[in-house]
Amino acid sequence: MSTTRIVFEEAKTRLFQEILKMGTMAEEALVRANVALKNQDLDLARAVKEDDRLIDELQYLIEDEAVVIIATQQPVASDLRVLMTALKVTANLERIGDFAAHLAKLALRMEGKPHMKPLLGIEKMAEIGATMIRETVSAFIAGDAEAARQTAKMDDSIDDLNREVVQDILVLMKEFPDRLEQATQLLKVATNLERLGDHVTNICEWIVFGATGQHIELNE
Amino acid sequence: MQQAGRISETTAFFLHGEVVEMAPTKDIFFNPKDPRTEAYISGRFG
Repeated sequence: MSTTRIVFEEAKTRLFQEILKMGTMAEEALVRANVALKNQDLDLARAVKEDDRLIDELQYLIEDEAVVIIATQQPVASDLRVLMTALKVTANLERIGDFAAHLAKLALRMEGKPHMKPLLGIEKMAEIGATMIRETVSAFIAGDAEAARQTAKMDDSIDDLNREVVQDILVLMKEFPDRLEQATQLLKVATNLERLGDHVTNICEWIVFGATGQHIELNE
Repeated sequence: MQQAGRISETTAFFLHGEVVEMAPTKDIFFNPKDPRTEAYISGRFG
């Protein structure tokens, strides 16, 4: 392998390792926010909210590294597409981290009061979201367009659960008109998780672009 | 090679006297169809 390729491959490997770390942090943030919501664990919720800045810092680091690779290595073809994809993946993971932090804030706003009803649908949405994050980062590292397409399909389950959860909450609102505040927070939680799934789908679309050069819409 | 990318509208890649691929420059440099073109422009061989 030529020296130029060795330098490029090493830089790309470092970038991928950072993105893998960022994906793991975003996934963990979501899992922890879900636990904080379920158990009304305010300390955990505060920690998730605080740790979001670590994800943001990693985003800046990855973006700076990617720009240096573009400037010094002048990549073309699939090398360039992969770097473009890396920047998009990073931006979406940062947003996913924000959603997890927002879930933690919603848990804090509920002030540890017991839930009107167990949040089974919401828990399931968060679990699927966490799996999607893990699968999509693996698909990116492997440059696997088919795995990205498969992962995006999981967003349908989040959307279906969101519809069910919203219906459930509307019923609860009628049943417990004195607890509209908590019901409203729960609606926001569901909306956050639904949007999180959309951002993972965006990542999947960019992985397909990185692998094929074609822009596609998944889950229209 | 970068200069060819900057100034041309169409790029052809020749290997051992054979035209491997000829296409608009943007396609050659962003999404070449032949793996030999990709390997050459990305420095896998020179």
